[in-house]
Amino acid sequence: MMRTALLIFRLALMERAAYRVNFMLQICGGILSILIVVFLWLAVYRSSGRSELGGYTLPEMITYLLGAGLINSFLLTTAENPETSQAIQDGSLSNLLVQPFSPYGLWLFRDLAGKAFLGAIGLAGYTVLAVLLNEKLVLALEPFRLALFGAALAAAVLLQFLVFQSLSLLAFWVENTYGFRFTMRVIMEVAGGAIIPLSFFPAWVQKVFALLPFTYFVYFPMRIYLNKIEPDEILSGLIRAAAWTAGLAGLNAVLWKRGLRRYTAMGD
Amino acid sequence: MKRHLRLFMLLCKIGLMRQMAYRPHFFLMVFGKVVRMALLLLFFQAVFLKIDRLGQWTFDQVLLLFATFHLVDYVMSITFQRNLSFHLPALIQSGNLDSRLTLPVQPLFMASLEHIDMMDFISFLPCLGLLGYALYRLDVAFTWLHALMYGLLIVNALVFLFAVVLIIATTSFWTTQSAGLARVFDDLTRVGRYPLDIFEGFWKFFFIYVLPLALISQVPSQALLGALSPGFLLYAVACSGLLAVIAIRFWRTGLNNYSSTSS
Amino acid sequence: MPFPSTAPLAVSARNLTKTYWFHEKAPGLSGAFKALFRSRKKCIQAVQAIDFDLRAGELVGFIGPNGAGKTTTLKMLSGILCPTAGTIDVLGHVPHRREKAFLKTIAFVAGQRNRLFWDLPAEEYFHFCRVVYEIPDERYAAAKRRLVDMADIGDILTVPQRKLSAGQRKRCELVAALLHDPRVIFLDEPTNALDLVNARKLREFIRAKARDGRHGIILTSHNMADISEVCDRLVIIHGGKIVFNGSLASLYERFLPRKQIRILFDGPWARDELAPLGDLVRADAQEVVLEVAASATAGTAALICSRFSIRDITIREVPLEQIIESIYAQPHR
Repeated sequence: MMRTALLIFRLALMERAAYRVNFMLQICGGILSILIVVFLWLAVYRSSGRSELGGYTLPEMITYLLGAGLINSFLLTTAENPETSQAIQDGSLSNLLVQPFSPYGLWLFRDLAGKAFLGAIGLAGYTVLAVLLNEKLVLALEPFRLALFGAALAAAVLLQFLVFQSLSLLAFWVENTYGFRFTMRVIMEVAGGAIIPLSFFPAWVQKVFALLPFTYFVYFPMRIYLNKIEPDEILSGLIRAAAWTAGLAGLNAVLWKRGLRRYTAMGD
Repeated sequence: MKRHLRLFMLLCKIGLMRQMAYRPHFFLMVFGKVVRMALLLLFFQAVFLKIDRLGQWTFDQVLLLFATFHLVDYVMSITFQRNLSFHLPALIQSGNLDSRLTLPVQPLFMASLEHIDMMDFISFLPCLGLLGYALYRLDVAFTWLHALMYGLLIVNALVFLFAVVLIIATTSFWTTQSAGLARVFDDLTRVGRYPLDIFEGFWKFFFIYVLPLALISQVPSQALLGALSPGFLLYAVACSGLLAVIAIRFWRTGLNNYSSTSS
Repeated sequence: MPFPSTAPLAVSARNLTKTYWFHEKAPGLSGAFKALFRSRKKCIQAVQAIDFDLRAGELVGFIGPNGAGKTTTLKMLSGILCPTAGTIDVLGHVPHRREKAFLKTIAFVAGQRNRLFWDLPAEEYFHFCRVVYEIPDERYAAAKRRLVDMADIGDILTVPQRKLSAGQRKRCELVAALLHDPRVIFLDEPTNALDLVNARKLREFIRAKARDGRHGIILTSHNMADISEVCDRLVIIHGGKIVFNGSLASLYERFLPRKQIRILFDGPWARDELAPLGDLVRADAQEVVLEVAASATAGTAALICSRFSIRDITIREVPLEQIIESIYAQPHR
């Protein structure tokens, strides 16, 4: 079974590679956006005359933006993945069901492959950018912190997949899931801390965001990286992220089972 | 001309009907667009909570700039953006462009306006509100001349964006990778949200004269504030006009290519 | 039935040619590398110097193997493709100029692709056509009523396209294509994705339309029934050239004046007894199909009946497929 998973992963990578120019341009676009925002913040800091805004110094802010850009490059764009919904709606799920592996597993590994591919391109691009801007950045290279950062990222990847997959699975009941996924993506962009650190928002907004799983997408990992978070907060954060993951995984399992029952009963 | 206008109104109506064809989708899209607008404003406010001016621009002036940008951006996304950047390459690849070619309408018209995203109208209306609010706060003596120039330059901004989006979209007659380029341009245009003062020398020059994204919202805003020289106005219009001519010529070339080499 | 040659010419094409050029690339990395500097230009002659006429009221079928040039020809006649050489005149216009007046007089319905709005009922697309083609209100109402009746889609007009079957969608599309009363109608593989019943319904619709004699209809098809049941005239295209252009009857006359005798034997039979009588097209233990010259049919049949003990004997024309396949099999220059 692992062999099949790896095969699926590899095939999905090759598929992406066929459109590599497209993806590279996409990442370039993302990098350009981040650069522009960096310039914006440079001007904002200059205008304010202060060295710290919202608890972030200029180097910290720039690092945050680059990190957010990098994470976004594989989390934001793959959120729109219509593969699952489409397979359910146009009936091609039937073809998948007769094959000796779980369609859910297929979608999971294809999604991971997509994220890996984009992440690799993103990493290359942002590394170049980081080299260019290196005096302005915060470089955290302690292995323990990086390991925690990596763990948080892994949680983010899984969480993102589970959130959007549960929406996509609604296709078993709803004719068009685009509205759900669009709305969720809109919220994710801001509530994830992808645009600015969540500490910039008014207190009540921050409280609302803290209740959502999106805070673990960008804000939480970046805080770990920049060491702007207490150790016990890291622990409680990771536990909560794990809880979200478990909860969403359970939801996915229920949706998948119920949905499949309905799908095969309808003979659609 | 009148027929095209009538057709456009019909396409708007059809666009709305298509969105309403799925009930949960429709209401969710309304909700989603409202949330997006709200979060955008929240972001804007979060930035300006800390400072009172950006370069030469005060908060109220930046608000005007911001509102103008999104006004133009939403008109673009309601009308031609998705059609040219997303649907056209798909039409060319699948060969479905043929059925548009046999309709007695300009192919460019259908290629640009077939799918009208009426849902973004929901995002468009708050922008008008925002514009009104910015004008109210600005408390500057406006003349009708300035307002007229503003309107003209908004249209000009749309012509400019249409031309560039069309040029990028036309490349899909030859390549399958046009979507990436469209995305890059899309991300790049976001620079129009901010005053160019945030850039230093070279980039400022670049975004005014080389890739004049300043035309999107900074130039119209400056006109409304009475800060635009007539010479610059002329430059803005000439720039867009020239680009539009190039874009349409290029489109015709692409279409000819399609007629000669597709099967 | 022979077509009156006094009807006005709707479509006239002379020396119609379509050539595609592409750069030849040798396989592999070295080939790709070489291609950067020097590559051979190769050409495909999709359509070679075709002459073709269509009169108002005629229903012509284009048939040919895949890649023969049928769809390419159709697309050139409708203005979608630009010919490499030759002239086309459709109702006084040059198609590839795509003038508004020209486009209003034709209809082109592609095979697999449906242009109706997927999430909306056919009704909405009909209205769209009404605006695009500037159809006057009374004419629109009358045409719609008549066509909807002919196509039998009255009860599904308000159902979104995505909920309809392929056959229903196809009929809706055909109605949409005919609302503006086009003089020349191009149908590219209309019965392609349809089952037997729906294909038959579509054929009836097309025949009914052709009956009023004002329209010229060209359709391409792989389906023999489309050709034999619907078309007045048959054009066989092979290798980009017209190999045959005439009525079905003249096709039978010209190519194979033969008939087939199908015999169901009651007991065993010997090959060398049957072989001299004709060509054995099929031979099982019980069933034999013998092909003989048309003139010899009656005599051979009588002989078989008297000499052998048989259960059943049938005489029929050589199937159209076989005739056409043998034409395809002939080498083309």
